[in-house]
Amino acid sequence: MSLTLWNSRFCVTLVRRQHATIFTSSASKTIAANSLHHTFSNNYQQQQHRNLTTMKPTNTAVAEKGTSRSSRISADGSTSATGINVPPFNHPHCDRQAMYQQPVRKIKTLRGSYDYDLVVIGGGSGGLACAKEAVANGARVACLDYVKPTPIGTKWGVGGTCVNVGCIPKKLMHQASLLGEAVHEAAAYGWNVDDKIKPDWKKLVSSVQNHIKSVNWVTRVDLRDKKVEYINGLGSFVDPHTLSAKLKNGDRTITAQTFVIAVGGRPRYPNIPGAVEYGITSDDLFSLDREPGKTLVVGAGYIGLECAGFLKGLGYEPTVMVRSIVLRGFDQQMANLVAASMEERGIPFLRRTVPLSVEKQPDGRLLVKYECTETGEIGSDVFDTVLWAVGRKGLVDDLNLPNAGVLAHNDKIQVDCDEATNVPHIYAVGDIIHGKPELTPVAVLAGRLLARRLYADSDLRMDYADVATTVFTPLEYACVGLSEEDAVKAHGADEIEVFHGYYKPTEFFIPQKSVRYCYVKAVAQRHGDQRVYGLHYLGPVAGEVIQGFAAALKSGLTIPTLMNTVGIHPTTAEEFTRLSITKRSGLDPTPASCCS
Amino acid sequence: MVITHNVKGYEEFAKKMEELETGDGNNQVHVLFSGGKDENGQSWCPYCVKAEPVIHDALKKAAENSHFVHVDVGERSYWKDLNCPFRKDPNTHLVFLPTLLRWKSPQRLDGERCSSKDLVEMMFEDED
Repeated sequence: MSLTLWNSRFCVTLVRRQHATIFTSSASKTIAANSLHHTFSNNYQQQQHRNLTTMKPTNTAVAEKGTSRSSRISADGSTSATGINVPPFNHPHCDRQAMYQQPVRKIKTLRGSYDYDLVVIGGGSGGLACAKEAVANGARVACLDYVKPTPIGTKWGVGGTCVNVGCIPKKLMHQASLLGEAVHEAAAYGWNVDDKIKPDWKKLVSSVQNHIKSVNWVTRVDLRDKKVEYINGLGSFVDPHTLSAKLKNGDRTITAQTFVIAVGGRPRYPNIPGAVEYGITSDDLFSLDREPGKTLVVGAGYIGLECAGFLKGLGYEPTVMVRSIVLRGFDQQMANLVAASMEERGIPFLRRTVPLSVEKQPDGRLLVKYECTETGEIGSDVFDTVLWAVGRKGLVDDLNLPNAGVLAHNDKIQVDCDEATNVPHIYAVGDIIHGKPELTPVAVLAGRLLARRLYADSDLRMDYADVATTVFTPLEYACVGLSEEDAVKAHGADEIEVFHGYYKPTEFFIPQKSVRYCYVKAVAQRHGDQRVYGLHYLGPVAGEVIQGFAAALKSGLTIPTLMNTVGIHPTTAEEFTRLSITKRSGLDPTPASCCS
Repeated sequence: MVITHNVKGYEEFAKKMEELETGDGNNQVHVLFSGGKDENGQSWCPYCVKAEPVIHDALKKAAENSHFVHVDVGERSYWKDLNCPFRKDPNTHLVFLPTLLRWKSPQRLDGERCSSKDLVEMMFEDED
């Protein structure tokens, strides 16, 4: 109490005097040194608050956008919530104005009577980021991580989905596939290459797995170095402050003031005969000890398409089975272009088709029976591998959430804008939370910001809007902001202008690569500032192209700014600065010649 | 009991590793690379000096019958040459001195981390 008073008095001094005066002031030098940090951070916060309040009125476009988007999202949420026995849990998720008006909740009883200040359940991207940041800010932290083996016995180390069975191995296999393509192109560029190049699956898998294992090791060293206690165990709640961890050698009871659930998700299996016995998922593919061969990829979300894409590039024969739409949740015009670009490369798509059964034939190959949902026609084909990419399920089951009073929303957990669940001292980040992008960097930032709010006097919340992402199909697709249909839903078709154009990457000419699907579009406000709501890019190195534009979009990019930006020639990213044709004009969006 | 080997220079190192791989391929081999010592037994590499006692102390945590190879990389000028064979060998890819690693495994510590008792013990005890 007295300290606070003293601090506030000190604040006043700080405003009136120069910093130097304070440092050299003779009175109680040590106390000043100790509390300087507090004073500065308080001051900094006040400044931030001021910035936020002043930002709001001038930034009405953002506020409006946020509001209308959040109303759309909550509308979706209530539809999906019907029939589920969960009370309505409405929070201003993406409504930035409402979000900043709520005070950040502070529970900061460090060094309480619990074993730990914080226990993070899950050692993936979100959990680790949160745990490390909490330790850095003085909390006593334990992080639990446990991987249940897949039905065929695949298991892996610490680090979660991204490092072990997600982004990292996926990107490496995608790269392997692009390199194969590049070798073929190299001939046109004058390299004398043997045109009978052949991939070595086992070599690839071992290179990829070696990389993953060294990342696992580095992660463990980092945890030990940063004094995060790593517990290789499966956690389940006993009561709201107690966890039981199932370890290799028995159980351990752990108590904590605060919990962060960051258990992530795992692939689903369809409920058909033979699915679990004979099928594999992305959890198994990157360490598969045999060549995948002719592969049926069931599911056309980004995981299915990426797997099919690199398998094709590596010389295997993937087929994609699509139940309804391709890349649900993404801009559908772009999604269909992605699918078409894959079909052009010789990947067949079985549309409106669902699998019925998988049987193992005497020769070891897999007979898959399937049905066309439109015609009811039954078909079948034989494959070497069946890969389920039919969605992912949040790992709520092992947590024993009812013991803690945490409500699950199907297999996910709903959180408010502080990432708190319905139980105030239990938080959740990453793929386990409901209705947010399931992306590593989202989990990392959310986890880190959460730890700072809990232990470092920060007020900063995670902004889940306008997160850029990339689909690593052979021709890559990256986007940031709204899809065309979401923009239309949010603002009305009359208020939206879509700029678009096909383009020809310079380096595609010599090897005569297809430019048919190289396409960019900007979805923008039609009147007023012409704010850019969303950017979409289909072409090479899409992630590298869109990342910078994501920062621009978050800074309030407008069409005039984009048009006034000078491109880097010759690149594909510069196509965003050359967008001049609107869909409304009906003009031909196919490319003009270079430099015109 | 951990079996300790001391080798000097790249050729001795390469020979020793080949010998261990063919003769005793099943047991773990930990390798410490450090800077060469002068006539007073003092290494030119300060972190190596710091790491050595920590590592030797932690060795008792290593698996029964595992091997520990202490490699004297050589003089500073030899090591600083970017074409130094220790840097080029795909199995070592040395960038820092000291480096402590488990042969043909992901476990690896370098620089200051080699003098952290906690981390060094973690490496010797690691079962993966």
